[in-house]
Amino acid sequence: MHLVLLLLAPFVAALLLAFGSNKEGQSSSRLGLFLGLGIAALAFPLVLCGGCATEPIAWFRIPGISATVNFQLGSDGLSAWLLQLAAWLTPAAIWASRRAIGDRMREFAIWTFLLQGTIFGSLLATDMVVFFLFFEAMLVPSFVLISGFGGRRRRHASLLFVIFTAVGSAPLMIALYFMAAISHGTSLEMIGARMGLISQFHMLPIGMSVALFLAVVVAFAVKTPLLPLHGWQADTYSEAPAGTVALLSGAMAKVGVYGFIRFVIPFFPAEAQKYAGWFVLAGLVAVIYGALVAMAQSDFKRLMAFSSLGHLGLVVAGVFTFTEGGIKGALILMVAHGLSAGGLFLLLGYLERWAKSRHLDDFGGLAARSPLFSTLLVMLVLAAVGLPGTAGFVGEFLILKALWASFGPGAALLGGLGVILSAAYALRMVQKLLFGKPALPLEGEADLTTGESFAIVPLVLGLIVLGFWPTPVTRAIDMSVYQGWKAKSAVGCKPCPMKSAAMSQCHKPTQESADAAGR
Amino acid sequence: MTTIPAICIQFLALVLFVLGLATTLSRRNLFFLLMGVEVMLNAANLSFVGFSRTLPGEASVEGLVIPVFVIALSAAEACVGLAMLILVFHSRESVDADAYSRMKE
Amino acid sequence: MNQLQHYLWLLPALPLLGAILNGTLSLASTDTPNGPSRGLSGFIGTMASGLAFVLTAVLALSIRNDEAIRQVCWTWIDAGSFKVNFGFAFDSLTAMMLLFITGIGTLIHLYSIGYMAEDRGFARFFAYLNLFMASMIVLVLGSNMLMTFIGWEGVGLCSYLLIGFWHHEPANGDAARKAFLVNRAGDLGFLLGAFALMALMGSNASLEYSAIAAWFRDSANASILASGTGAGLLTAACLLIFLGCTGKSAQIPLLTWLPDAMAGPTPVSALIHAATMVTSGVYLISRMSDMFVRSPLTMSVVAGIGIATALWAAIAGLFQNDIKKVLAYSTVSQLGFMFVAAGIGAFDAALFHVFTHAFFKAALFLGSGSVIHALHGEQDIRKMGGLWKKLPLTFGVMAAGWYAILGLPLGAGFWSKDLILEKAFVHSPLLYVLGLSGAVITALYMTRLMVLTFFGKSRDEHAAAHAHEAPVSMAVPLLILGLGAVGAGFFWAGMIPGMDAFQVMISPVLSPAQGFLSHGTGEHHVSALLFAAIGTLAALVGATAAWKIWGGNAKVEAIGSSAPKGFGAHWTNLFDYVHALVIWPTKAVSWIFDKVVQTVVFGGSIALVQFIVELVGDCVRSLQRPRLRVNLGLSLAGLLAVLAFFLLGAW
Repeated sequence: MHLVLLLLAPFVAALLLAFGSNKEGQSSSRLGLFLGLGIAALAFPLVLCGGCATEPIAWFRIPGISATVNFQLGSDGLSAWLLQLAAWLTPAAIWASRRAIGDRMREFAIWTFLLQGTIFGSLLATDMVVFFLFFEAMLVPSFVLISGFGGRRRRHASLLFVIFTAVGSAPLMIALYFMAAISHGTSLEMIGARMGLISQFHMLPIGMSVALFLAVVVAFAVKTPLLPLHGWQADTYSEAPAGTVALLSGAMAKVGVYGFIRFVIPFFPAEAQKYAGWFVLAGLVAVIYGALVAMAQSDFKRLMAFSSLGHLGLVVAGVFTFTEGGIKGALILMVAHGLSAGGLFLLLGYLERWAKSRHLDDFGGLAARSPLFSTLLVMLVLAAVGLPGTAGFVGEFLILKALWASFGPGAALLGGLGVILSAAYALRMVQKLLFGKPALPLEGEADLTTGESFAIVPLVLGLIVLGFWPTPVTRAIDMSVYQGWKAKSAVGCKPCPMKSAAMSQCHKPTQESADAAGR
Repeated sequence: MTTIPAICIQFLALVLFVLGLATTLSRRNLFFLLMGVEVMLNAANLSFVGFSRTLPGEASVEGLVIPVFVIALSAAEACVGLAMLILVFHSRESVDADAYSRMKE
Repeated sequence: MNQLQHYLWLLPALPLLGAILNGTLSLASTDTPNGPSRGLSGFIGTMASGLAFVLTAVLALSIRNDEAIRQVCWTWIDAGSFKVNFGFAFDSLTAMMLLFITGIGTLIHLYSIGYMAEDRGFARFFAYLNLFMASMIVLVLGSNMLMTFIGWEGVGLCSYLLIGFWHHEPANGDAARKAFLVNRAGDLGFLLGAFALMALMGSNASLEYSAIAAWFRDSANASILASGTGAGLLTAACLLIFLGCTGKSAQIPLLTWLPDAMAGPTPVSALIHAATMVTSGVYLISRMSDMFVRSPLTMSVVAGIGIATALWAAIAGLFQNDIKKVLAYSTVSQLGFMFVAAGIGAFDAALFHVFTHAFFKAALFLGSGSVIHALHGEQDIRKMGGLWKKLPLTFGVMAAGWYAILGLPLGAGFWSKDLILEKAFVHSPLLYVLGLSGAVITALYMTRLMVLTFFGKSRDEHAAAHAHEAPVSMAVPLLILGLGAVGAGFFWAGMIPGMDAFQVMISPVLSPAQGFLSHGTGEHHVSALLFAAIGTLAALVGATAAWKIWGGNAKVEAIGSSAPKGFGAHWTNLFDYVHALVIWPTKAVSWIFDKVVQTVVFGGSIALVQFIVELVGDCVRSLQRPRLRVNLGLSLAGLLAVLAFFLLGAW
């Protein structure tokens, strides 16, 4: 019930904003902040309760084949933490955007909540068709937000974004239909009872299953984005409004990785194992490539876009080590990157509004002009480059360790080089922005107001707390995917009582749903 | 009481439909276009009613129900269509369908 | 069990609290013209550090030398079988390090109150300084490698912030960035070394220092180390961790950042870039001595790098004209001596030199800060001269530092440096000769510094006329450190029986490793007095030569910037050239990736797809007729065609 409420909450918030607030920007932003914080408070218990799921309801039958789509919401540690990102970044984004957006705040907040709702939906859905519906629905609010509120080249950016993602997920839809067709009535569950479906795959000719695998991979690789499919990212991130890009990079991109963990690896274990090396390679190349290209950027939002490319490359590399450390590191790094990149995009959004420019050479001397801004910027940059004591370090450490263990010292070295290079471009940005004398006179206020900093400070605090105490995140993984993987491997696992309780709580309804579908 | 053979009703419906279609295809005036559509819809209704007579008992009801839906639909269509027509007329000062094209040639 | 173990966390927490308070003060007072009250910020900063010193002293007095107290706060990283604690360990090695870190740190805080008094960023400075203290304490107090790594990168961060403290000057930002990046390269070595170590230790790997030491001391693991992969991993781990040490302690090849780091305020140079942070590499090697001694190759590399750095930096010191740069190269050179000692297995001697060096180099730096303060920012020693009359106290303290670093009898360096040279002789006479020549050059450049600064005629009358002695808050730390420069050596005055408190204190931690090395070679008995005599002679030779060259009224002209020219410049920048070999290809590849791959390949393919779509769209569009009736008719025809097709097909 809680999950249903949580899924409905953003849509209700959008409705409330549409009818409840007047056209003036300030009041909409206040209402938006209030509603956003309410939703975040509603979402927070998910990380505490471990696994939970609603009763499945048979929704509709896919025409032409015998598969039934169940509407069921479920959450475990993995989805709960990624959901937190979307939950907490939304109020921050709305609050941070209120001066940049001005009187169009109501529309902005409405579409932001719709984006949040679709992200929630794709993270909570247990049925893969429902997942796909929400996964595709994310496009609509993102498109409106980019094309409606973006920068000068917003039309180009939004079209590029939509075409890339829509074309990328078209094969996924075909693959889904095919998978549903061969499911022979077993449930299309993503969490839990999927063994029936996987056993069907074993009877497929080898080329067929590889084709299915690739079709699914492309969709998530575009969303993440993974290296050769990142063409939309830089333009979209640089043209989208700061609040939107914070959500896009902080939460939406993570759904791509979520797809890899939840969809690709469980459904295609053999193929994933077989091609794991390629994914790790693509991830590591993205790490180096992203960092090097970021070094050459003069637009700070593009710089951040390529930085995200590198970070998510490391995350994907971590996931495909198939080790406990790797997957835990990936989740922490995702959370850390969501907070730090989200915060940085918001912060740079303020700067963009002050200067009407995103060009690094137009700035200088901000350390003297805007101390609060500079302090927060340095903190977030340090978190982004994975300084120990911030959550990013724990993630990078675990991933690099897993890479060394699974793919040898060379892989760890490549990933580690990316970490050095990331410091190089990040400090270059800090240097250009904060040091020296102002290159151009800046309009606007001298510094962040205390109120504005409230959008950023919680993110910084979150990064530091999780940096010293990442256990809530690492423990969350114990209760979700990794247990499933371990159960499949020959080595049996002995879950502790608390975990097994959470697992059974999570599994019971899905078992029933399998039965229901069987009937 | 003599019953009209079912086939006659179907012929009548066919004639009506062709008339409607011809109107739609040949006239440029938007009012006539809408009228043609109405005539075609009614031809379909007539056909349904005619067939429903040939069916026994309960099964015949379906043939009578669908026209009710269609009538509601065509009423809505006429409402919206005419409203749009008036709006378009206000902006274009014309009821010529060919004059509305904004598509590039 | 010791009750005090529950209070270990207070050690880093106190300076951290100070940092947070001062940082908040600094941010909260942005709008006021002068910033927060100097007294309040200075008091908070100095008290935070001073309390940590008191606590350290209490802890140090309450433990036995062979005892360690531990506190595990919580499990930091938990990845299944691999766990890392957030914990602290306090043994005699930590106690020794912390005593001088917090002690000298507190003195430098006190000094900064006077030195930074006119700076707008006073509170920010103390926040950074406190943050540095917290990081440094975590570095030496951490009970495992990752805890040390928090401090390791934390001090790097504070170094970055403090070098770039005067941020209006972009050059400072460049220096700060260089320091951070070069250190980061070393830090990657540290991390990879830790991975190699874990791979070596196998399934139940742990990064706790106690576990690592126990693992290496366990004779059951000797066979693993003897095997091919084991030996390879051990060498890799040692070399990679040593790479981390070269970054932090400014050794070849990662040393270029330290001279540039002099862009920061002078107290920072004294605290971070002379006394504490740069010695953490020596600390780490000593802490992991059980591992290092089992890799003879690495030990040779450490000693070799150490002596090469010592000589190279000493020569580079001769070419410098900036008073702080001379001291910076001197620091690099002295650190080289420490690594020589570590490389030959004399970890206690290395740490003793760390200890004495902290005193005399801090005294020298603070003295030079006092000179700079007196001359209103002048740092070029060619423009100084004759200052001893104007600044008697500063001169006295710097003379004490000079006396100590030269290793003249009974000074601090006399005991520690001669100890290193003595052990080097036992290890290899060649190393001894090289070290001795390093000592001569040290005497040469240090005497040059003293002579040009304090003796002869003043070469810039205007600046000298306004010179004034330091205020009290600067004078007190100067005096204490000056005394330390002379007296610190008596903690381990090898020739005097009973004066070996230092060795007694830290030997329980280091003796297993040192015992492992000396096992089988037997004790060499050499006459300490003879070595002391030779060492003193070497120092005197250098000092006399310097006096002859630069003393009296030798003409020293200050033309242009203080940077060295000609051969001196190339020698000084030798490793910058090496770094450029890495930096330029990186930049080139970055440019190629951005302009060619990203723009041409990816951008081009997007444009190509766009072009094809537009082409097809144009073709298809020409089929569209903008006539409603035509469209309707065509669709009808299409519908009929489809119907006909299926109906005919059905027949």
